[in-house]
Amino acid sequence: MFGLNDNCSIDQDQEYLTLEDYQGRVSRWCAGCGDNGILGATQRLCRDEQLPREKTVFVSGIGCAARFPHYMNTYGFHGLHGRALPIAQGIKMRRPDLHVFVNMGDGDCCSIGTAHWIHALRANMDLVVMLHDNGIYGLTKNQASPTTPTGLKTNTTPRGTMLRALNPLTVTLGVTNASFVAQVGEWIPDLLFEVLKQAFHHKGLSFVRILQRCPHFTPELYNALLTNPDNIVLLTHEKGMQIGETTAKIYKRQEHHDPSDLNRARELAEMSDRVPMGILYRNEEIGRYNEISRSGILPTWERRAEVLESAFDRFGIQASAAE
Amino acid sequence: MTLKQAYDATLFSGLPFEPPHTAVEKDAAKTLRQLRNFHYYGILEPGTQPGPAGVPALLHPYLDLGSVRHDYPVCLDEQAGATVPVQSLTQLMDELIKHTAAAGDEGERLKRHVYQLESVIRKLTETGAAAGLLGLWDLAAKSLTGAAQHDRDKQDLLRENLSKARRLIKRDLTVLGCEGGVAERILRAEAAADWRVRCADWRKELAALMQQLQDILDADFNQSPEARSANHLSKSSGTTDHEIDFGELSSILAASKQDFRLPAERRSRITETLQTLKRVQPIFAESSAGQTLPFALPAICASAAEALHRQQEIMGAMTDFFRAVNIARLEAGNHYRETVHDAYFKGYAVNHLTENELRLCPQVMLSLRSSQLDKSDCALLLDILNSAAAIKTLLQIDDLTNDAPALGGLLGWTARLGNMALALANGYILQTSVSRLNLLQSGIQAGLKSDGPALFCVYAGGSENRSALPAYLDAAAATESRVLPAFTYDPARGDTLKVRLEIQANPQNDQVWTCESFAFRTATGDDAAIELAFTPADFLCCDRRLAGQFWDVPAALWHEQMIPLQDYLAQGREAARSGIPYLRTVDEEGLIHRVAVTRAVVATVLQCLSAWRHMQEVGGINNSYTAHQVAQEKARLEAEQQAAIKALEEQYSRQLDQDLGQLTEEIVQRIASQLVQGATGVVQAAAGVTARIARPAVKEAAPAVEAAEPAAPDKAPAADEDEEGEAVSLDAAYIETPRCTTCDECTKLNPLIFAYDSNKQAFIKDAAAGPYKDLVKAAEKCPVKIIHPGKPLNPAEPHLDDLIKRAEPFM
Repeated sequence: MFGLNDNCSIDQDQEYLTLEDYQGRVSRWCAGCGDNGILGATQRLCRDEQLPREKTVFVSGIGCAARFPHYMNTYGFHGLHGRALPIAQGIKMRRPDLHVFVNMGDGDCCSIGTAHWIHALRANMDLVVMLHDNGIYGLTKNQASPTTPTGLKTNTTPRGTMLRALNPLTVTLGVTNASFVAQVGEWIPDLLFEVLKQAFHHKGLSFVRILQRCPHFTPELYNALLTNPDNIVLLTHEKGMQIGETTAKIYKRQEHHDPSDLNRARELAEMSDRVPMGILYRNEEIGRYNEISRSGILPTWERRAEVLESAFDRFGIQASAAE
Repeated sequence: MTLKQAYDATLFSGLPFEPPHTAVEKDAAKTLRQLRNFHYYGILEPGTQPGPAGVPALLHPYLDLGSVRHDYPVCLDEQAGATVPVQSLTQLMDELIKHTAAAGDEGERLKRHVYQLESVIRKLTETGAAAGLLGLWDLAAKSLTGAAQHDRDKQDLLRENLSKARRLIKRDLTVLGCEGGVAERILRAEAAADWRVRCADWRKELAALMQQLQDILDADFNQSPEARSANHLSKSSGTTDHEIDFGELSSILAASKQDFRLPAERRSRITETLQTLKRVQPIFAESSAGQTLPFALPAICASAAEALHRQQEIMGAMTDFFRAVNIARLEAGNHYRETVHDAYFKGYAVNHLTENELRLCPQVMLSLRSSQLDKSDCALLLDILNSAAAIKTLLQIDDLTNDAPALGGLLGWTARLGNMALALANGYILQTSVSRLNLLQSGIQAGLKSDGPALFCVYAGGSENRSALPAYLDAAAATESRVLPAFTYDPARGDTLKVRLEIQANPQNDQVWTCESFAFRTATGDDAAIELAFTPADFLCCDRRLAGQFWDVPAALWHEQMIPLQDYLAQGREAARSGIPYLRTVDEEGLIHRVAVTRAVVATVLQCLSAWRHMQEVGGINNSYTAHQVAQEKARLEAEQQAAIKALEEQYSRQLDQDLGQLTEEIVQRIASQLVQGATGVVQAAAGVTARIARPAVKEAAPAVEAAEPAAPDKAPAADEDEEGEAVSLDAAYIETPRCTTCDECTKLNPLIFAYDSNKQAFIKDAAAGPYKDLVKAAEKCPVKIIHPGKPLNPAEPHLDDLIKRAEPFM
C-alpha cells in the first residue's frame, strides 16, 4: 500500500536476538536431564520467532521443571505448587499482548494442580503449556507421581506402584474446549522444536506433553521407545506436523492423521502398544475466555471511580442519619 | 487520562478503536435532517464546524514514516563517472548487507544493525539534517552507539558491524528526502549519467578525428618557411647549448625544395573546421565544468520560451559542429572535392543531421511547476509536445485540487495533464507521483533515451494546503486513490497502444479502487478487520481548503442511514440516494471517526472513477471492445459446439436405429433356425445375442492399493549409510548433532572437546583437546547414544586397550 516496498517492516530495525540472548542463569539441572533439551528447543523457538524478551513470560509451579523461568532471560514467575496455570491465566487476562508459556512437571500438573489444569483447558486462553513428564517427583527425591508406571518402586511406593499411570492425553482430550493436544519425546530435538513451534502459533491453550527421562530416578522409563523407534508412531499431516528427512528416516512408522479428527485423536491417545508423537488434536474455532469475556466497557478512571463510589455507598452513613 | 491512554492501559492493542457506546440523539429524524442538509447543501447547524478529523483510516498505520522502510530518502551520485546515479537508501543498505556476505546469526545481527542505522539516517533526513551519506552515516552511528541501551559487548559488535558496512561505501552520495525539487534533482542526475553514456564512444572518435586534422596541418606547417627559420629550429630541437648553428641549418633547409604545401583554401578550411570542433568538444568531456561552451550546459530552463530558444541555440551550434565533423572526415581521407562539397556544405542545415548525430546533440531540459504555469507557457508546452524537438519537460504538479472551484469540480486540470498529452500521441509521457521512485527513475531514463519530446508529470505532494501528511504519503495517496493514475506512454516500444501504454504500476490495477484490510477494535472491545477502499474522497479530505466538504459527525449523531462511501458507490444511484456516505478517519489518539461528505465530493469521486475506467480501458483492462469481441466469439463457438453435438446425436440415433433393426432381424432369423434345429439351442442363441447388444461396461476401478505396512523390512545399517552418500571416517570422533537433546552430559564432562552450536546442539569442537577417555565416557553417558568416539589420537594414553574395547559399541 502507498508504494511501500514489499520488505517494508516496522520491526526490522529492532535488535537481533541470538539464542544466547534468551539464556538466563546457568542451568542447575542434572547432566542428562531432559529439561535441558526442552530448554534448548524453547530458546531456539524464541530466537527463530524473535520474541521480544520484555513481552515474554514463563510461568511455573514447583519441581525440577519449575526452575525453567530462571534459565530464560525473559520475564518469569516461579509460583506455587500446582498453581502455574491460574497465574498464567491472570497474566494473559490482564496483558493479552504478552506471550505466556507455562512449564509444569507431572506432579505439579496432574496431581496437586489437576483442577487448575482441567479448568485452564476449558477456558482455552492463549498459552503454551509444557508438561515435563518424567513420571516421578525428582526434586523431592523419588516419590511416585500420577504418571509413574505400575510397579515402579519409589520412596512412597516401596513395593511398587499399584495403580495404572494416569494418561494426561486422554484426560486432556476429554475436557470441554481442549483445542491443541500434542505429545513428543525430549530425545527427538527436531520434533520437539516443531511441536513447540506449532503450539506457539496456535490460537488458544496448547497442551504439549513432553516425555522426558530423569537421569537419577527414571533413566530407563522410555527405553522401549529409545531402543526401538518402531514403538513410536509419528503423526503427520499437511495441516499438522511436517517431519524432517532425518527424523523420517529413523521413525519409519508414521500415520497420516488429520488433527481435526477428535475421535481418532482419542483412539491414538489410548493406544497401549505404541506411543503417538506429534499433534493429536487442533481446533482454532473454540472460543478463548479472555476474548469472549470482554464486557466492552472501558475501565476508564471515571468508570472506576463510579464503581468504587457505588460500592462505598452501600456502606456509607448518611450525614442526616448520623445526626 | 485520555481515552487512548485508558484504552492502552487496558487492552494493549495499539489498534485504532471505535468510540465506546454513547447516548444516541433521540430525535432520529432531526439527525437525518442535519446529515442530509450537509450532504446536499453543505449546511450545518449554527455553531457546528465542518472539517474532517485525523487522517483517512488506511493512512493511519504509516504516519510514522521514519520507522517504515520505503524508497526515501534517495541517494544521488552527482559526481563524474557515476555508474548508479540514483538509488534509494533502502536499496543501498540492502546492497551493503549483501556485500558483507555475513551469514547465520552474525549476518542477521549485522543486517539488523544496518537497518537500525538506516532508520536513524531516515529520521535525520526528515528533520532536515544536511550532510552527505558518509556524514549522515557517522552522525547516525554516533547516536546509535552512544545510546546506553546495550552492554559493552553489544555496543562493540554494533560499532564493528557498522564500520564493516561503511568500508564498502566507495563514494560519498547526496541524500535527499521526499521534498519539493527532488524530481528535478533526479532528472539532473539521470540526464548527466545518460549524457555520459551517450557520448562515451563518440568522445574517442572525435579526438581521433581532430588529431588527424592536426596532423595534416602540422605536416603542412613543416613545409613552410616559418618551420625552417632559425628560431623555430632552435625551439624544436629542445637543446640549450650552442653547438648547432641554427642560422646555418635554416639557410641549408631554405635551399631545399618546398613544393608540398597545401592549397591556401584547404588549409584555411581545415583550420576553421578544427577550431569549430575544438569549440564544441568540451561538451563531450567526462566533466565539462569550467569550460567555455557555445551554449550553457546543463541546459535546464525555467520557461517554455527559454527552452525553445535554448533548443534553437543548441541545434544551431550542433549543426555547425556536425558540418565541421563531416568536412573533417572528408579532409582526413583526402576526399573533399570543392566542386562537389562546397555547395553541399554551404546549404548545411538542421535537417541534414542524421539520427545518430541528433542523438549526440545535448538535450534541453525544461522544468515547470504547475502553480507557476501561465497561458503562454501552456500554449508553448503544447507546441513542444507536438513537435519533434528533443526537449524533456519535467512538470511538477504542486497541487491537484482546485482552489477556485467556480465550475464545481474539486480537482484541478493539472490532474489530467498527462491524459491531455496522451491525446497528442507524440513523444514520451510519464505520469506518476514522486513516491513511486522506481517508476519515476525508469520513466525518466526511458524519456531521456527517446528521440523526440518527453513529458514527465510528477506530483510532488506536501504542499502547504495539504494537511500535515508527510510529502511521501501525500504523493502516494494521489496514485493510490486513482486521482493521478501512474502510466507511461512510449512510442519507441512499438506501433500499437498495447505496447506503448503501460499502466501496470498502479496498485491493484485491475480493480476499481485499491483496497486493504483495516484492523481495529470495535466499541465492544473485539478485534475486527474490514476491507476498506482508498478513494479520491480520502485524498480530498486531506486538503485544508476543502474542509467545508467534510463533517466529522459526532458519535451521538451516527445514524443508520450513514453508509461507507465505497458501499454507497457500489450501490445503484437510486438505491444510494437515501444514504449519507461517510469516510472512516483515525485521529492522533487512534479514535475512529465517521466523516460525512458532500455531494460535490461524491461527484468528484465519480469523475475520477470515470477517468480511471477510461485509463483501464485504453491500458487493456476491462476493454469494452475486447469484451464485446470475446462475447461474440464465445457465442459463435457455443453455437458451433451445439450444432456439432446435435449432429452427433442425430448420427448416433440413426446408427442405433439401424443396429437395432439389424439385430432384430438377426434374432428372428436365429430363433427361426433354432426352432427348425431343435428347442435346445434357443437359450444359447438368445444369450449370444444379448451379449452383442449389451454395451461395453465401464471398466471397473482398480482395487484400492492396500496401505503399505508401516513397518518396512529392516534394512542393514550399512545400506542406510550408503544412502547418505557421505563417507564418514570411523577413525575420527563425531556426533550426530541434529539428534542431540542438549542434556549437558558431554559439555559438562569436557567443555574443551564438546561444544554447542547455534541451535544449542553438541558437536566435537576439538577431539584432541582432551583424553580419549573423555570421549569414550561421553559416548557411554549420552542418553541418545549419538557420540562416536572414533580412534584414539594419543597412542601413549594409559589404559588404551580397555578404552578401545569400551568404545567398540559406539563405532
